[in-house]
Amino acid sequence: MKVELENLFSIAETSQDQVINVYNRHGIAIGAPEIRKRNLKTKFNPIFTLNEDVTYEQVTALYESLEREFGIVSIGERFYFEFSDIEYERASLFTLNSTGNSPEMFLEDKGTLFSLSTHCKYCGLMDKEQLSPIVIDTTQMKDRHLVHVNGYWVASEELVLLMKKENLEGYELLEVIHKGPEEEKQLAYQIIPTQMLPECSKDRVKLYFATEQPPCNCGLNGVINGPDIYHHEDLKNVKGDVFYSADFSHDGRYLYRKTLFSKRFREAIINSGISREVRGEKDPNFGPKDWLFDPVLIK
Amino acid sequence: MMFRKILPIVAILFIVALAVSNYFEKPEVASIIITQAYMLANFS
Ligand SMILES: [Zn+2]
Repeated sequence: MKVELENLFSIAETSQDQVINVYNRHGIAIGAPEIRKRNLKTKFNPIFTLNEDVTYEQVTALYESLEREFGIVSIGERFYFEFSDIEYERASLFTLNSTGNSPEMFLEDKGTLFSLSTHCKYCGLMDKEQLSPIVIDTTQMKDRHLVHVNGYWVASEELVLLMKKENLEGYELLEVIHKGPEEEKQLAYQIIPTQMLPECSKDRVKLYFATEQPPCNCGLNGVINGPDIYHHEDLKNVKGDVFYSADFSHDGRYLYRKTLFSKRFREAIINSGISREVRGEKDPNFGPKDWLFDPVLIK
Repeated sequence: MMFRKILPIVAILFIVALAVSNYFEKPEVASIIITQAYMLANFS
């Protein structure tokens, strides 16, 4: 697994070469930039790998230089986690990160009932407990097989049939409540894992944005978690195809438990033609209907 | 460190738990990114 950092900021086209020099001076080799013109300024987005040679400490020193020498104070940061082919082939579990590179993979919650409680009094992250079936406008699912609603996955009837046909196990289905036009409404089901995995390995990569507030003491807000990584022994006796993660994820306001899927689940999706095989966000196969599974790493 | 070509990748947005800083949520930046995402999705 490789961690990459992409920066994005505006610079005058004339200072481009000097900015590249600043990166190089900090030991970060970047090549000829892809420039996006926008008025007089251009968008500059260098991407580089973080490793023993380029640490995040070096990057924060770089940002200080960019500010001091060029007055660049507004820098975007984006992390990418890239996996090797061996990591895809060896993984027994996968995280589902997208069911299509399209806004339609996200569906708006139309009034599911939750009980809320404060999880962290410093950053205000809330725990939520689901009290009713998920409420969505199912006409918005159109011909999508799986949509994401605030941390939960909602499946079409066709996907449920496929999961049954493939004898996938480890979940319960809860029919959603439709709220919207009666015409073209459809049946849809929340996939509720019946098992929770053990806790992740402590070796999971944890990052933060140097350009933002440092992470909260709760260890959740402001922390960018790298890929899930488990000890081999912890997964040895795990059976089934759908699981909750023991570790919390959050959307900036609410905590939720991420759902993980088995290799068999991923293969069923690919073999049935629901999605092409996608290996990473940069894979040209990642189209508006393709599913992005990241392999769970084993230690 | 290996030399790496810079690719216009800021485009892809529709991922659960996208690891991007708040900078990307500024309307001006987001509009560029979304345009790119649609271009990639629909015309590539
Ligand atoms: Zn907190």
